[in-house]
Amino acid sequence: MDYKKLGLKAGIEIHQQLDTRYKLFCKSSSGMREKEVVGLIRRKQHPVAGELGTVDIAMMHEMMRDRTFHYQLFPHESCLVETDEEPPHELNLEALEVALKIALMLNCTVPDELQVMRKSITDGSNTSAFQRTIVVGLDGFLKYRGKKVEITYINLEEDAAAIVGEENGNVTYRLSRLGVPLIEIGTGLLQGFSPDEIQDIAFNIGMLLRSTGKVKRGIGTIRQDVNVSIKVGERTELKGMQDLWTMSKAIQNEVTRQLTMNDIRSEMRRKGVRRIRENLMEVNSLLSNTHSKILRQMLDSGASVFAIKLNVFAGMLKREVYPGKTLGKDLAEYVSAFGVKGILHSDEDLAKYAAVEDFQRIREHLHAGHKDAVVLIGEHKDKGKVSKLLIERINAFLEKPERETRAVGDDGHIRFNRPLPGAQRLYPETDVIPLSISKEWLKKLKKELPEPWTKKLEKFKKMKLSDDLAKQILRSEHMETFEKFVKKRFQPIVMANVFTNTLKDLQRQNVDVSNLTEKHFEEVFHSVSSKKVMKEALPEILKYLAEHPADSVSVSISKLNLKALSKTELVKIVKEVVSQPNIQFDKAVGLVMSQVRGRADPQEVIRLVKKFK
Amino acid sequence: MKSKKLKIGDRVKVLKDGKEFQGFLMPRIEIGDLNSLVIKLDNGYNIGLKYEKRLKIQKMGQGIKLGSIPSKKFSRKPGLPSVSLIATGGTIGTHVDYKTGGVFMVRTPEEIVATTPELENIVNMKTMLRPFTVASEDMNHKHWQELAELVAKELNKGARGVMVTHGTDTLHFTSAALSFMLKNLTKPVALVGAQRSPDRGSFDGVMNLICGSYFTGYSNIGEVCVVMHGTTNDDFCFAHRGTKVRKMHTSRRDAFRSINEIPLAKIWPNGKIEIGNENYRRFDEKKVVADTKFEPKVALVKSYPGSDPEILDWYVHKGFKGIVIEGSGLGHVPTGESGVKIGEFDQKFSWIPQIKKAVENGVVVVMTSQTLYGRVHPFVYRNLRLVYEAGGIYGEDMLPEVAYIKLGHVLGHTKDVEKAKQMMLMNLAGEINKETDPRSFLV
Repeated sequence: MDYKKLGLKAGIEIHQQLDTRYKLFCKSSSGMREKEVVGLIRRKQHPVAGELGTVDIAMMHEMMRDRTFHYQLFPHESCLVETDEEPPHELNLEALEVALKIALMLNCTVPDELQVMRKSITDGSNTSAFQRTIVVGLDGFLKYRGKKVEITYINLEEDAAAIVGEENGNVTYRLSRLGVPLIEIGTGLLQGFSPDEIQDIAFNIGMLLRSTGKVKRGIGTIRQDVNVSIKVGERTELKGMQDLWTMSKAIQNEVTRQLTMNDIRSEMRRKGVRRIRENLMEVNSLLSNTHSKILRQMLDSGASVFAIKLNVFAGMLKREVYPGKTLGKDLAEYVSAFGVKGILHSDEDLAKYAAVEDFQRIREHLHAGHKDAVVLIGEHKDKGKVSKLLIERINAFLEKPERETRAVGDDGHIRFNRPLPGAQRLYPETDVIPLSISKEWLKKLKKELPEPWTKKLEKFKKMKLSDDLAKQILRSEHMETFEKFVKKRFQPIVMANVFTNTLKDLQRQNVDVSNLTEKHFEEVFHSVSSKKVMKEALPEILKYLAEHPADSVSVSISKLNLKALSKTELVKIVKEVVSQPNIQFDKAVGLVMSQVRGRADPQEVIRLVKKFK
Repeated sequence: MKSKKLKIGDRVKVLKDGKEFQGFLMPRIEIGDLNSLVIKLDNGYNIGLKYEKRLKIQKMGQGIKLGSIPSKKFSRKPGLPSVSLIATGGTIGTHVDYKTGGVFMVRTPEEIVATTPELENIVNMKTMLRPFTVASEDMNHKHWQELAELVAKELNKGARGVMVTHGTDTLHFTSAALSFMLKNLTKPVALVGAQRSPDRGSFDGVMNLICGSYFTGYSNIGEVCVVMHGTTNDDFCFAHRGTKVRKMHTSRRDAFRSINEIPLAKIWPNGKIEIGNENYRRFDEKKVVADTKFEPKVALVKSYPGSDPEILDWYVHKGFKGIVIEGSGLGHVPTGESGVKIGEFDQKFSWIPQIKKAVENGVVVVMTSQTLYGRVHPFVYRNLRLVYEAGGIYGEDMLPEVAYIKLGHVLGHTKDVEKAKQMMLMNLAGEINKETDPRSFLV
């Protein structure tokens, strides 16, 4: 796809948790390691009179009245500030320093005086119903492939509580995450970049944050959002990407989706349809004798099944809006945001659902010909309301492209997200006094900026690491340990492979690698340098240590029988194997290897077999 | 700024150090660098820019209208009980202007009701009054007197109950004062406050106002009560007897606890009322009298190890008529007479001579305990008897703050020291329990 021609524009927003000792506005620990829930608090929230119109207020009331928030307390990680029972303490200066350094590294202007603001939050993820946020940097830039990528703003703010679950209007949150310092970085509108490049820019920003050494590592510590638009589309926000590597795919999918929707719009117009007339009917009586399991389930659950006629729409629902998702599935995800479990439509293989006759009957009643599509929705409350919403949605995109919010899932799948009403009001936090940032302090911080990660990457490549491996170890949570050990003269390539590929493999085998400490790694690499063990043996040894962390490396070596063979011993084995009559070279090597298994260097084995054959 | 005719709210462009900032000019909050100007950027964030000679500022356009406080006309639903609302100030009566962040005191009770529209379906707010607006730490006996008059007037005019919104810091002083000043009270009077500000969705005042409305509109409790959160959860409020309650935490929603008593009732925001303590006057339509006589020259003094008793001389010298002493334990003050070796140094700290002097000067001295919970006793230890012999009286299980208010009330009615002592030891408004319920500690 020619993204330039399509006019792809994207803006990135990155939220990165900081790894400071304390939270942003109190002395609770930001570790988020505690597992035991020591208390539970029940609260309701209330829409605030002010700048919302009567409609919004009414809607808010309904939503909030029906929701009760339950907050879990964890020892040392949630205090009265997090439970909204105490005013905030002074701003965490450790976090502020990190934020200012990041602002300086991204060439931002730092205001002379920082003002803490309150941003209202309506989903209960903050006990005070607002988030404290400060803008620390404005109008900066990042150099990327010779171009300047605009960094519009950098904020330092509190992270929200983490959701544990929601059931029947009861939402449970973990308070340990509430108040953890977060850096939010927003780029300007990036134009002229491909999805891969946009992902790479996000990668660059993430690396820059990592170079401070003060950001948290691991799942959920960095969240990415990107908003995407093309010439024939409208801005869509793709939210909640936890895995950076899905960004390019997600953007590509969204571009494809916007293009497909545009195509569908044009096609329908060519067929003379600009709007779907509202034509729906409750069909429970028509389905009373259904043989279809799925329809039977709908009826048994007490749902009112509505049938919608979509004129001239046959075939559209099975169109893929992007590889792997049909328009039908997309619409099903839309209605599920309103509580409906799913839809059944005429573009599906109705025989598979044993619903051919049912649809036939319904078509007759709806006067829906073979050019028309029919959609069935099972609604529980709000009879017909969701069906009407579905028609409205289809008519909306038939008319013109719409702004949307979508959540990004694994593999770059993007699904409709229902946004919460209520303006995100920002007003000053009067419990915290404004902070002056002196020029002298900024000068001092400028001198303390970390080494640019690109320099580190070069350094690693000089150690003979491939580009890929160097990038991986750079992003790894063991990078600092790696650097420390390089100074101890352990082999860089061996270590880099262990910290990235080996650990990943072990994780896939469900080995708990978090049991491996720095001490384990040091001992293990030391055994390789001192030739006590071959590097090929490391995966097995590390697996053993992860499962028996109290044992030493020597114990593991002997238990697994992986002590490196001496030259004499190896020669003996090789001589034995090659002495077999008519043994081929490859087979000989294979036989020796199966005997020495991790206790000898494969290159050495090949050399010796060659020598003695 | 004046020279360029710039007003708060104007759209401005600021050029500083080669950088340009655009936004709306905001007012300066009292703290922070007074030499900075504050701008609200288009993304909603405020920043401060230090004012220097080289800073250039240009007016770009008309100002934005600064926020007004939302108010809600209370729609009167027929069939709902009529109660009156009196607003006196406090956090519950503040409003944050979203545009500027300034904190203002609400001007009308309608603005309070705007924070909790549910009230419309619970009670008919017959009248809404605002006699004064003050932070509760700034209150004095004149405020209590004015409030008592107003409450009595409203009740006698036909209100089924009266809800008073008030700052939390000295809410319990006011509840005690009203308890003494409202004679023949048989209708519910609720004192309601909030620990969090109304600008946030977690405003605890919502539930307090709702429960306060149910209390005044539907309960049969003819007493002055403080109605506030019972726990940190938004589950229910307690109605605490006004003479048996104290603010026990700086900031928690459930800061108010009943002391030496089981709270009179639990009130849920759905209207359920569960009586916890049957000892209260039942609702009736009797006329209430505002008896506001109060002697302001009464004091509350704390004694503690190493304290200088000559402070009492100062009060006597200044013409104070009554002194409540917050002693330790069962009502002790240092006497210097309890050691095996009684030295001259220790005797210097004795409060006994000063208490004697005060009593000789016609001052009523009342002993209470800084433990707050429990009951003081005149005879158990020798030290206690010394105070008793010096002329001090022992205030049963009264809270020090309540004893102080009561003393002002009593001395407002009689100059006779013996009569005053008798009245202090009589239960006037539930402030003295003759028996202590074992369940009433830390409840």
